[in-house]
Order: sequence, then structure tokens, then C-alpha cells
Amino acid sequence: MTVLHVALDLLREAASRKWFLLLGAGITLVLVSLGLSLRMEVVDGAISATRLFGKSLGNDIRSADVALRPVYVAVAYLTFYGGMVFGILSCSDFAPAMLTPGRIEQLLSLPVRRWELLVGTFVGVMALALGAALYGAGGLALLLGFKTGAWTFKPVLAALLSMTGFAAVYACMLAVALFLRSASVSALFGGMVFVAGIAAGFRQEMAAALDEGATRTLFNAVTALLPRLSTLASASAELAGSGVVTVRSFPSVVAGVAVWALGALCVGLWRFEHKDF
Amino acid sequence: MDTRRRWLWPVLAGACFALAAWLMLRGEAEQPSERRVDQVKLPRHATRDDFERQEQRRTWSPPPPPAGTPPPRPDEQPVARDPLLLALPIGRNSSALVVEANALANSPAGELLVQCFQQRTRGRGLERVKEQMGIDPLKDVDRVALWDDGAMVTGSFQGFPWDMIAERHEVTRYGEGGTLYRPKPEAFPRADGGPGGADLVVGRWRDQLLFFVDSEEAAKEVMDRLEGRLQGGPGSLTEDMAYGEFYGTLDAKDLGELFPDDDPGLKEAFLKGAERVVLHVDAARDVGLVAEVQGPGGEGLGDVAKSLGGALALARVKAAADGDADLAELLELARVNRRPDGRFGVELALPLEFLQKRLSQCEPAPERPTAVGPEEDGPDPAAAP
Repeated sequence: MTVLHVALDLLREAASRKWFLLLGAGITLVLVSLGLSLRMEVVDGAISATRLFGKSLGNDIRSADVALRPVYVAVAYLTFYGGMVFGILSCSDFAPAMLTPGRIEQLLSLPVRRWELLVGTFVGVMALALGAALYGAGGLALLLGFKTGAWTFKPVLAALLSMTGFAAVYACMLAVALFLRSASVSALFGGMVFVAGIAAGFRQEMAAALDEGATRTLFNAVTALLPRLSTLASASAELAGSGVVTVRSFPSVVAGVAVWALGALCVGLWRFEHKDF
Repeated sequence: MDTRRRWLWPVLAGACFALAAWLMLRGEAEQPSERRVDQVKLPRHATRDDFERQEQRRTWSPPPPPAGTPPPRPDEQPVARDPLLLALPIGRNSSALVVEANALANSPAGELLVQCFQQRTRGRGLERVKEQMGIDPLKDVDRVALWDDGAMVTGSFQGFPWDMIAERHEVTRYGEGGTLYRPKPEAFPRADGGPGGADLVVGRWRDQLLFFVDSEEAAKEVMDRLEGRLQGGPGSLTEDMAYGEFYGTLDAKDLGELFPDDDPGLKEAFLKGAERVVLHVDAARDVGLVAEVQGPGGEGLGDVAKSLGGALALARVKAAADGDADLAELLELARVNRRPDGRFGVELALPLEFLQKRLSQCEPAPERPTAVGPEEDGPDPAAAP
């Protein structure tokens, strides 16, 4: 329960920040604009005409669910990569703010364990990101469902999947903030994990470009430990689009990234438990 | 106790990272199976290869003008033409289809079809054709054309048993390079035993073109078109339409008859709004089909496009509901593409993998109990009519 209280505290704090208000307003604005300006003519389940702000989009007549796939794929990639970049920038300050001298002592004087404080912060940030992703992807799925009659909640599943990727990145940011209390350093490490995670998804292709020997072995060894963020993004897009995920190790990758996030969180917990304030 | 707690988190972290690495490495060696659904090439226009092939096909040159005629102006110089296209009926509303048999037979999809044919004929089909017709259909046949009342084959027919055909036909020379084979009535008895059981006339032009029509007049018309003596406007298939492994034009009325009766509205809209359908199939690897529906324009054609799009969507839902995943996947790739000029194309993609799956189920045809003879064993060229 204490973890949830800490998470709720973080959400209250986020609600007062302009970043998140802007994000909420931005998503709402996009959904309302689409709702008012997107006109779709559906004949027997096929989209025969689409107009956005009065301008015709495309000449194809296809089944509504098939025609909407590229839209959902784009939304899934935007949610994954765009959401992650936004999350790295906007959430980098939560942990350093919690660790500010004066505030951390006050928090530690409350009947709350250190691990509960850290896990609560992590859960709060995840809830925040999840809320935004679900609001955006779910809102779009509902909107297009109303307009075309083709109902799907795969974009929502894809949004949930993208949270696994962000969990790994934010857990690393949280751990780094405990070693060095700085929002920018935390964001920098988050960005590094983000980029390295994208590269890790293409590690086999990249390794093939390296000469055989120590360099390739080292590259393989290092990238084997990184979360496969781009693989997760592709799987998320495929899930949102057609529902058929061709990444064969898909469940393993999802579980691997989630466990990696737990590992990073454990590093943070180890540091937090032994840090003097 | 304190020491234990001190090492709890690092040990857990290490274990988590090791487990994560193991999980993420699992199955990594397996390459993701890419779906090729959107990579099927659709023949929306001619490619460089098609232009080169069109150029090579221009083997017919018009005869020189009679002596005494003034030489043509530079912009009126006669140009070389493709004999097959010249021989096809004249007029926009005639139906004509051309199969690039040689290109198709050498494509992956064609190889599957040949393999299937061989399986069905227990590996003897092609050999029988070679033995009886003296030609190798995979090498000697270049193109096959079909139109309302005739068929034509181009290629190399030196090995064709012309002498045997001549025994049962009246042979007459016609035009510069043509020979007509009209069936002798006594050689083709009717079912009641009387003469005149066949009226199919065979035409041969320079050992490179062979055609079958239902009357001598029709055969002469073909020869006249072929040798430039009969000109009445563009043919049903023009050179700019000759691309892909299969192309042609179909009269909308003929095609409309093929529409299922369970959707009379669609059939009516199609017959009302469409005039003709121009078909192109690319089978270089996968099979991509584009059927361009042309009509007088206006609302009618737009309504047909919408109705067809809806019909495809419904058919896909029905196929999925009936558990026919293959058909549902196939229809998933179908689309109706509207052009700015009012025409629209129905596009269909068949990935090679789909064809492999379907054609791998070719079963040999059951053996017939009767003795092997020319009538039962394959086509007999001498008795073709």
C-alpha cells in the first residue's frame, strides 16, 4: 500500500507540472481535431473515401481494418519511440527532486521503507506513462472504431508493450540518479540506454558488418546484455497493425526486457539502501 | 544478517541481468519470418524490361509501297510492328487475352504450374505433347493469344507435323507468308457419320505464328490484318498494353456474366458503369494482378468501385468466418485503386509462398482404364479441329 501512496504522490506532483499538462492537452487536441476533421465513407466494411480537413487522402478502397493498419502501425511506433523520448526528458527530474537535500530526509523520517520509496517512484512514473499511452492509443482506436465500425484494441496492447521498453529505460535512469543526483545525467543515461537498446535489436546485422575476431566478440558480448528495444518496437507495431507478430522470440524478448528493468531497479535499490543522506 | 542484506540487491541484479540476457538471446538465431504481402509487384505500368521485349517483338515490317508512289514523308515512315498484336481483332470493345507462355513457364509461379501439370499427368504430360505435336511447349511456344472466336500461338513451329495435318485438310496459300488449312469434310465425320464434323480452320504464318478460327473468312481476316491489308483503327490490344506475363482486354458485358448471382446490385452496377476491363498479371516471382475497369466516367464508375471494394471486404470477412484462412489472407491483399481520371483498378497479390502452398497439393489424375490412344492420350494435331 505504501508503494501505491508514493506512486500517487508522484502522480499528484506530475499533475502540477506543465510538461504533463501539455502532453495531456496535446493528445486531447489531436484526438478532438481528428474527430472533427476526419471524414470516412464506409461501404460494406470497406473505406471508400477518406477526407482530412476536407482534403482527400488516398484512392484505395480496402477493408476498413486493413486500410487502418498503417495508421495503427504509425501510432505504435510514435507511442514507442516518441513516448520514450518524451518520458526520458519529462521524467528525468522526478528521482533527483525526491533526493533533494531536505526533502529526502523528510521522506525517510516517514514510516516508509527505502525500497518502497524507490519502487513507488518507479510505479508512479510507469502509471503516468501508461496513462498517456493508453489515452492516446486507446482514444484513437475508439475514434476510428466509431468512424469505420472496425473495432480493434490491438493498439492498446501495443501501448502496453511499449511500457515494457520504457520500464527498462526509466529503471536505469532511476538507478543513475541515485549515484549522481542530476536530472540531465539521468536523462543522458536514459538516452544512452534508449539508443543502445535500438542498436541491440539489430545486433546480428551490425555484428555481421564487423570483422571476425575480438571486436565482434566484444560487440556481441556487450549487446547481448542490452534490452532489445527496437525488436520490442517492431513487435509492438506488428501487434498494433495486423496482430501477427513475426518476431519469433517475441515472448522471450518481452520477458527479457522486463527482467532487465527489474535488474536495473535492483541496482538502484542496492545503492539507495546503503546511501547516507 | 546485515552482510546478507548488503549482497541481496547486487546478487538479485546480477541474476536479473543474466536471466534477461538469456531470455533475449533465446531464439535470436531464428530470423524473423518476413511477411511479403506488401512486396508483391503489381503491374500498374510497363517496366524497362517490358519496353525491351516490346522492341524485340517488332518483327513485322510493312511491305514497300508500290512502284511509282511518292516516298512517304519522314513522319509517315512505316514502323515495324508486333505481328501477334496486329493479328488480333480490331476495335476497343473486342476481348483479347495474351499469355506470355515462355516467360510464364520460366517464372517461379510458372514452374510450380508445370510441376503441378506433370504431377497430375504422372510426369508424362510434356513428353506426350512433344511426341505428338513435335514441339516442346516450354521452349517452342512463345505466346498464346485468345479472343472471342479464335486462338493464336506464336513461337517456333518447324517441328510441327504439318504433313500430317495436310493429309486431312485442304491447304491453300494466302497472302505473302500465310497458309490456311481448311478441314476436309470427309476427314472429319459428324457424330451421325456424315461428313463435315469440323469447321475449325488452322492458319500458319511463316512458321512462327499459328492460329485457329471457326471459318475460312475469319482466317483470311486474320491474315489480312497480319499483313497490313486490313486496317480499321487500333487493335483490341495495343503495344502500350502489352506488359506483364498475362495481359488483355475484356468486354465488361462478358465479364459481368461471371459475377455471382447472390449480389445482383453489384452485377447491375458493373454492367451499367463499366465498358471494358484491361487486365495485367505480373508473374516474374509472385503473382500480381491489376484489372483496370474503364467506362464512360462519371458517378457510375465510382459507384462500381465502391461496390467492388465493399464486396471484397465482405468476402474477406466471410472467408475468415468460414475458417478459410488462405482465402481471407488473399483477399486481405486485394484492393480497389481509383485513378484521378475516373478509372479504377482492382489489385490482387498472390505471394509465391501462397501459390507454393496451394500448388503443392496437386494430386495425380486417376488413370483411365482404356488403352492409350491418340484421342485419350493428349491432343492430336491432325485431329485438332
